[in-house]
Amino acid sequence: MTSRRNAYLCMSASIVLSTLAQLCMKASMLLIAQRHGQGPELLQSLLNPVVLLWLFVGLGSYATSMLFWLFAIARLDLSLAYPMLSLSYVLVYVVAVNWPLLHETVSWTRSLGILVVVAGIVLIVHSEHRRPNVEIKTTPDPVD
Amino acid sequence: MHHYLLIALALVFTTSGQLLQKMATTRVRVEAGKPGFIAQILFFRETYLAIACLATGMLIWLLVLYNMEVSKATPFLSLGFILVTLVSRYKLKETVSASRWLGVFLVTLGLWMVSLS
Repeated sequence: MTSRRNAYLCMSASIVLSTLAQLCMKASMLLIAQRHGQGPELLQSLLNPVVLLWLFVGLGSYATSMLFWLFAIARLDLSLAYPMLSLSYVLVYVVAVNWPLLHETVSWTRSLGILVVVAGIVLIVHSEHRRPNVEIKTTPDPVD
Repeated sequence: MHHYLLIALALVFTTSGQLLQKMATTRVRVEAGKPGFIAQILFFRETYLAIACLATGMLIWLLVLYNMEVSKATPFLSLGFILVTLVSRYKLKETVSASRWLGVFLVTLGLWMVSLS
């Protein structure tokens, strides 16, 4: 396995973990709001085991995603890796509108925006694979 | 008006933080993922400057959110993708192809649309 391929794996791990982090943190805050509102019992509901579990998984994923991010940018161009991070926004949106706990509403402009982001990422990654000096060995492109 | 100045400051600090993070990782002589990587990166000044910049950026951003509606403020955050690409090109001397630029603009535009709706 090339180190560049490893870097892409670290990049993917970072994206998935930061998505998980956002969703878990949102879930924990939502559970608090559902239980007691935001009144004086806030601290008490923060100590609820289910809430704590979501919160810890969230914060843990966040820390781990930052570690993988460092591994990724050690090998990849910042101008390649950084825009790829926005894939996390896409994943968060897809889960947020489908996960019954969050049940966020689908909006057409938002979905369109998400599609534009995906198009941007595809363009960035695709053009990378066509550059002749990359280390990744891919099968020859039939178009060329 | 000064809200926009704060947004600009938050963007500058966050972008500098990303740049310094990248500069720190490129100084490490241990392969990424190996245990010594983190031990070594803690010896570089850039690492601590990066943490300071990212933390300052976050604080200023909280100040922005305190003074401004979230839906009015967040679209500007997507400009960070253009700023990071600019510093990658001119400070880190990375080769940014036309299609990479187009991709970055699409990502920025898409996030702008998401945060406006």
